[in-house]
Amino acid sequence: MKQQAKEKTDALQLSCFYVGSALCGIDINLIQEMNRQMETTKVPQAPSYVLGIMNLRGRIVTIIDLGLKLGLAPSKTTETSRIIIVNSRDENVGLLVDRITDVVTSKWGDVESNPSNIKEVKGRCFLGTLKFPKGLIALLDIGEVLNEDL
Amino acid sequence: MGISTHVGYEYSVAKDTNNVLINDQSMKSNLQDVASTGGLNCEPKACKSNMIQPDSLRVNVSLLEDLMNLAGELVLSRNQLMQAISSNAIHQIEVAGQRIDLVTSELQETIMLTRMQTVGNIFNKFPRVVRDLARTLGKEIDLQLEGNDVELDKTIIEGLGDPLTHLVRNSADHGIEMPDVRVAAGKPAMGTIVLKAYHEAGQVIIEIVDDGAGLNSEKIVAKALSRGLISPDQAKSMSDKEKANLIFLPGLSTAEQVTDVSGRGVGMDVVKSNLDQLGGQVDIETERGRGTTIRIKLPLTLAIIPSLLVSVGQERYAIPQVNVDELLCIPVDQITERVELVGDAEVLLLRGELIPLLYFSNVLGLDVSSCEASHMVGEILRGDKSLKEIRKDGCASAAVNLVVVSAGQFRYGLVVDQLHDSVEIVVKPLGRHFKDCQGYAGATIMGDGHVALILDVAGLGRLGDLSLSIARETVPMGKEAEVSSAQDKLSLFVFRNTPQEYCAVPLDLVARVELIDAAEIEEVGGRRVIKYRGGTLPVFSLDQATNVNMLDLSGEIIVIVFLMAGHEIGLLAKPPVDAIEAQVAVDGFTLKQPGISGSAVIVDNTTLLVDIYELIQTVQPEWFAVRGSIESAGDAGEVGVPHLLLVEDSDFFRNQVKKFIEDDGYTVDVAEDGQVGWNMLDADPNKYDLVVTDIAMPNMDGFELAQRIRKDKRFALTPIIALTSLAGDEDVARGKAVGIDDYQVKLDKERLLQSVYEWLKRYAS
Repeated sequence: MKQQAKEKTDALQLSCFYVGSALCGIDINLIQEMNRQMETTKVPQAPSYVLGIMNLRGRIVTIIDLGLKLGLAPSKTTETSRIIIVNSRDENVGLLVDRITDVVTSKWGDVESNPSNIKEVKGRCFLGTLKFPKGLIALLDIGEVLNEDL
Repeated sequence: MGISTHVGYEYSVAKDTNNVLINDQSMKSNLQDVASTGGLNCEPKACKSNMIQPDSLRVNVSLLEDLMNLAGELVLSRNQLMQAISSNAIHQIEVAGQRIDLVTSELQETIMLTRMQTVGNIFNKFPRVVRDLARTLGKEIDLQLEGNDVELDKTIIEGLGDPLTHLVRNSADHGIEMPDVRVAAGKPAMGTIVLKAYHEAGQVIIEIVDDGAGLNSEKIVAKALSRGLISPDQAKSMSDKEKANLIFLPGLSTAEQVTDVSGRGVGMDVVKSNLDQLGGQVDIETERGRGTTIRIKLPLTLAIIPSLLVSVGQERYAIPQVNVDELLCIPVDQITERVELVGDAEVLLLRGELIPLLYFSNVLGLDVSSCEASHMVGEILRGDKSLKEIRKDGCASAAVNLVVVSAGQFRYGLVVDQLHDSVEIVVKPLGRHFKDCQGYAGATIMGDGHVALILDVAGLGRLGDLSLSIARETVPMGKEAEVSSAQDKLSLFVFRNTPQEYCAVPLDLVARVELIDAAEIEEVGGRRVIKYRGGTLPVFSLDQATNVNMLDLSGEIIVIVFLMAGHEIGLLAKPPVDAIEAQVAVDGFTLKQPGISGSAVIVDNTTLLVDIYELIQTVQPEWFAVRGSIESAGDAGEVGVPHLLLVEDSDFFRNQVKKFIEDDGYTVDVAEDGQVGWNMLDADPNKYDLVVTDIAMPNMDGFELAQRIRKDKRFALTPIIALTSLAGDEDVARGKAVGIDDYQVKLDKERLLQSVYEWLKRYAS
């Protein structure tokens, strides 16, 4: 995905949000919609990072606690919480994040590779980092984040 | 493949299976594909499975026109609704709402229709397949297609192609023998394969019948044993049918050699799992030298399934109705009587059967608060809490709700907090993150927009560690117990005519039971009828036909529906009703009168046993006119008055059955068990034209008797009809294996007589 995106176009628009205190971003083209509906149906026996399932206009969408999935603290559902619906492998998946911020425009060329001290699972979930006046944005690799085998 | 090495069927799994043997994961994704395309509002997806799905669909123009009209209606109704909302006209909103409701349900039905395709679409390619195969193999095969116009959901039709091709090729390759072998075996040189589709009980059945060599079940068992798929003990207790069904186990191939015809790497296990994905069941029956029948049961559609809604804790769950056997509600103070602790396991006693109980909280790891009904059973049984405490907890009125479910070999009681409605739900697939969750078949969206999970009954059973081997063992054990007790248990449906008059009918005869209000009974043309399932159902009360007290026609009335001579009729009764299974001593004298075959003491009450045939004959004599002609035809037979032997150990049944067979103009001799019956046959070999036998009897049971009769050349052709109160599939298969020609439910007079007549005719010819 990394390679392809780079070759297609250098322009990059990131939708940014906070997971806990970490500022993360997703390529805006991967996002279908954002949404504040919080009513989920719990699925007993599901992996711990799965919050449950939700009815999105007649489709069943799996909702994932991004914090837990990234190995951070679990997200708390608050006023600012949002669900980002992404399309991954022909399936809609919702990511629960703590707060949504801006959309930033940048270039793929500016994305720096992960600091070498991010390892293992977490390392795989990030495509790289982007320096930004407000701070560092960690660019999420949705394919890896939603990899159910991790 | 040489003929000499050819021993029965050889179902094969090729060695290089990389591309065809489907692993678990892709299986799951296949399933999701199937299910998701089954959903109504799912987008079409690129299909990941190796089934090639056509991306266009042929739809009847008139159907399309209907759809267009409905879409127009929908837009119109929407406009009305929008207008009404903006002008805040409540009444108009209601009207528009109703309209939309109507239009959408019609739209849904019509769209479902567009998905229905005839099985002819797949059947029609088989004549060529079989013809080509026959030529390559040098065999003569006649393929007969039946039921080409039976319709099935598109996804099912698509998924059916591969497994069906495999089965048909198997039949042609391994089933049908070479012409010279067939002639030598006394069969016509041309083998026949029948491919047939038909409706049965809301399902579609597809049968592949060949008259070939049949399966070599011993070889299959040997193979399964050597692979460690079953234990020697299991093998011993298996029926022939179970043995034949072993070929569906993964990793089992009896083929010594893979031919290019059927050894294409797809084993029978893949066929089975393909069919499982479609919600189908596959079953195999075989007889050495006679042929094999493979029967596939399929649901009409995958998209919408009737389900029972239950709730546990805060969440609701849907259980597919096909899995629901019955619903039970046990008041707290009866728990100690109805539920037993076996070791640490809780078991429900249901009409003599032991049914393991399963808790959501345990199986799925739910967090259930202490007052939940589902917890009470354990607490009461283990003495953690007394009844008093439970009452104090505010569950005073509570009862434990149980859903007895079955799927495949699992049968268990699921303890739930609340039972809700039965609803039709649209199945939606679950995301891939749930691939490790065994307990669900998908999810659905309820009317209020909430999501409910659909339970997979077999999956839950596995989660609950109800191991299959245990389930399997209990079946033969149960049978043995019954045989050794050597007394027929009567399954009775008990009701009241008046509060003091207890009555009972054999449970097997009861088609359904409905609770109605007395006001619903109408009197039309001098007959009482009720509106029932869109038609009218004639009803009668006991006092119309026999000498009992008048039924009080007010308040709640129970309608017991019987299916008799092709008609439905309802008997009016008073609640409470109960179904019991008991060994009762029937007194056929004291209270005998027309319509009452006798009495018995059931749970301390003298209960009248109602002879439903006589009753209905009194109330609706014209229904039985048709059978009169059969009788006379039977009498006109060249054999004179046919002589029947009736073998039955229970006095009650013996007298009943004897009476109605005699009424039909036959001569009947009776024997009280298999041994006596055999002695009578042996003493006078030419006397009897037909044997009617019970199965469970002391000394010699029905199976043994049948086996003995068949082994003896003198009786090789004598038809044997078995009577049973428990005609399970297993029994039927076992009976067929030992030579029983037909199975009839005890006291189902019409069918039994019909069967007797037909078999006598066949015997005579």
